[in-house]
Amino acid sequence: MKNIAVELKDLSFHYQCLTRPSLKNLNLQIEKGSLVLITGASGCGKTTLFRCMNGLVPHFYEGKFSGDVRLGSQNTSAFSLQDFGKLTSSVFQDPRSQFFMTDVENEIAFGCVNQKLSKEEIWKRTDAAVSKMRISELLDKSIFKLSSGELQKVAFASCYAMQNDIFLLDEPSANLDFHSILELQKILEELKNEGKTIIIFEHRLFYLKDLLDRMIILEEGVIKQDYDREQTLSLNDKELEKLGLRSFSLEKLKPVEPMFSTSNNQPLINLSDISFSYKKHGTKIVKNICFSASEGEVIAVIGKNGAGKTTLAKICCGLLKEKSGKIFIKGKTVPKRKRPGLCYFVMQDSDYQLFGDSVENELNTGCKKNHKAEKNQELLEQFNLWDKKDCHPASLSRGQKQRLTIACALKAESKIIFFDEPTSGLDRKNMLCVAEQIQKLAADGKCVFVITHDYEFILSACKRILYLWDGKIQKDFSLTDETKYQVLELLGEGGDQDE
Amino acid sequence: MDSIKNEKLAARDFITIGIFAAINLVIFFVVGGIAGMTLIGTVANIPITVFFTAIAYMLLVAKVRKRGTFLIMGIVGVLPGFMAANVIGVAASIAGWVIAEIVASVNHYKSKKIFVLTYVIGCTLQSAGYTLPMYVSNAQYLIDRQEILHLTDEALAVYIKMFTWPMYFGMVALTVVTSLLGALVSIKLVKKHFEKAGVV
Amino acid sequence: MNKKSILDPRIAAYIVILFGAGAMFMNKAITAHIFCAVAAFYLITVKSFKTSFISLGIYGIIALLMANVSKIHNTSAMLLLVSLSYFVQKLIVLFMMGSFFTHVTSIPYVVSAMQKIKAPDALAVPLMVALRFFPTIHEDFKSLKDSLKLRHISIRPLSFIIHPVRMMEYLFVPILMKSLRTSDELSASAMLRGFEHIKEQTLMYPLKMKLKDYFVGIVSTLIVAALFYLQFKK
Repeated sequence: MKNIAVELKDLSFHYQCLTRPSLKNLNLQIEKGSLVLITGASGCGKTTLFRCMNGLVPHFYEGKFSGDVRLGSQNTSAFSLQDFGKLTSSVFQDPRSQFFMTDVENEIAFGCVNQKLSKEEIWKRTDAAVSKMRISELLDKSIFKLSSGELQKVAFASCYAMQNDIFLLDEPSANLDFHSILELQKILEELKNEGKTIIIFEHRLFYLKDLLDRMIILEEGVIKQDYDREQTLSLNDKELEKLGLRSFSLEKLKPVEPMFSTSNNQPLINLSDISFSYKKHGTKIVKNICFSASEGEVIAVIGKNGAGKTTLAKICCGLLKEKSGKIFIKGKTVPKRKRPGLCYFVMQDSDYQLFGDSVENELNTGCKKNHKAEKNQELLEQFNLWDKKDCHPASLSRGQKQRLTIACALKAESKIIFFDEPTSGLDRKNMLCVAEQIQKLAADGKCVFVITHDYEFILSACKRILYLWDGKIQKDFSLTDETKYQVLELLGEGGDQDE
Repeated sequence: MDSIKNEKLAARDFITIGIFAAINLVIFFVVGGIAGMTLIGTVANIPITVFFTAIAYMLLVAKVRKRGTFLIMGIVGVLPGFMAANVIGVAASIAGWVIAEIVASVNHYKSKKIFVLTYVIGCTLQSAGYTLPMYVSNAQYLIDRQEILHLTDEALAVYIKMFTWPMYFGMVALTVVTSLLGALVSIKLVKKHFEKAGVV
Repeated sequence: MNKKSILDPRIAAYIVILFGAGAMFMNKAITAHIFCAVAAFYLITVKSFKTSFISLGIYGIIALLMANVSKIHNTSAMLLLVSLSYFVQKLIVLFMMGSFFTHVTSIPYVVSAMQKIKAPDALAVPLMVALRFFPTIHEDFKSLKDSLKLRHISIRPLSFIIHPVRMMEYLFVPILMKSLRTSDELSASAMLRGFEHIKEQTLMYPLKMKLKDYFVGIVSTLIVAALFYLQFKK
């Protein structure tokens, strides 16, 4: 008698609004207690498969559905979404849009409250979940003040309290920093030890190396490869790259040589004694920062949450006013009001950076009238977006949106560009694409700062590392084959700075 | 997207309505707050805000084409009135949105033109209902303070005739105009952005 | 708003409505001023000092202006000013009571109250979700403003008058776009955790009217009744 947790028979699904089917005659059996990684390039059907397993397809998303989904011994064809929720627990990509209540305790209890359990049982389960996820210090915090990593732990706790045996995770590491990913790894280990069945739909592979039992690779809606643990670990990096997957072993990676040579290295930006705090005599978030950078540099800015990375970027771009100190660009002092434009900030969430009703009009947003038509075609062709020029920015894929925001930065002719986590949630191909674009920017004489925790990206694009701690620059060094281990170590020290 | 005739609102829709109602209220407070800093803006507060809140309504009904959507959105939208403790005004506004909802329901939430009409009816009745208690008690207030203000009976009567009631009806009429414009502009924006992007 | 409950939310709502209805009738100078003082007192008892002092300050300034208003010779202008001051003063008192409400109770208890009075899902759910969503929208607005600044688009109050449609496109459309996506994710997450009807949920914070609630309710009623008497006695 097989111990099967999830069984899919001849599963096909075609979204109503798309032209191609997302899944084609999929057959799959997943054993109880195993940790299975389901991966593939963007658009392979991972998210659709996730939705089929928890019932969102077809109950939430419309389209043509055929085939069987069995959870344990039960056929789910007559299930409602709530019935699915009694057998499977799902954790979504973006922790910020999942929470329903406004405080941690009630959010964790949410699932139990809906099942109409007794109050005593609910508090018992909540306490157990809190201690399992080790988040007792979060209980007094408002849910709006939590970081992505903390929110995700709360989401896990909420699922754990429901005591389901099957966990479905959709790109759980997408919005997490390095330290939080290591904590996620620990949570998964604990859940696996309890015998839970864990199915993870992911791009990032390195943190699952010691945990996975099986790896399934999807391509265009069908299963291309199905490896067991041994076969998975025997794949070398070249084979992984060919499959479009990220690396398993971060330690084995090497810094990539820059693709383009930079001829001039004129000093570009200089920060002198910059300090910042929100209130007049409040805690300083940025403390007496001094550094300089030249044209053609690509600098990775790393550090814990709350170390001051984003604040520093915002000060340079003129979005925040420093309490003391000066910023020099090309030798001249630049007051706050003159910085937007000279410096550009590409934020993590591209939803708040795109305003036009077409890709081409996006480039025109905010431009003076006489500048409008210039350079648009050239820029869009450079970023492979010319054929999408009439499409609405909101209909683009994540990678395309990212490229469009970079194109806008170029249109603004900014000299210094800051990026905030440009590769979160991107697969290898798109991550390397962003790395290439950033290197091109540097080759054109720009100075690029990237706030990131994506180690693979740092190796592919950055040459200098700036490590911030407690509002100060703690380390500033070049990335070489020797110093790369230091980068990995500093990333792992992440977590949240105390307020 | 075809409208679904007999489908009732369910948990998923209530959540969507809640989110849009929150946005509606934020627009109401932000725009209302800015307008309230000027003289005209304070008097014409509702006509001004309904122009801008139209987009929240029009997008919501584009997504949730079911009976009851306008009514719930309208009710949650006037609930700050409770915070400002204008109980009578809130009750009257709700009655206004019930009437508006009937219009949309009869049409089974099909036609965009009817959405515009529904919005105009709802906003106008809301404006009329919500501000009526304020104007009525304002007139009473002036009567009570007649002596302190050194007003003659004649001057007071003239004022009430010239300003209080004309202002009230003027604002209600203005609401018709601004809500109509707001709804028409919003429908264009929904087409230009949301339908084009394929999200609705 | 975290998880406090100084007063039963039903009594708090009753007080707010009571004061609100009452405020509309307090038209004599003396009753209006007492009313304002009472509202400020309620705020101070819940330790909301800043709000009560600022509100009292604005109210006081307007009252001073009103005392000298008969010096304006143009009757129409004077009356217009008087009417305006009237609106503003009333609003301040009502706003103080609203602030009082947010200080004496919190969302989990409001939800319990809604369950207790068997409020329909159609009202209770949107209300809960809307309350949970305000801080999120606030954060989103901030990010949006930063983004627009980088594009050399400034959001000034004047922009709403000169380019209202453009403001809608730059501010409201992005927030709505993101909210469409969030509403799907939030609904999915809630429904997969069994959410369907509020009345089917366990009552986590049982409400019981305590002596304190009755006391405050009765005292408030007496105060308002006394003010009504003062207002309408000949």
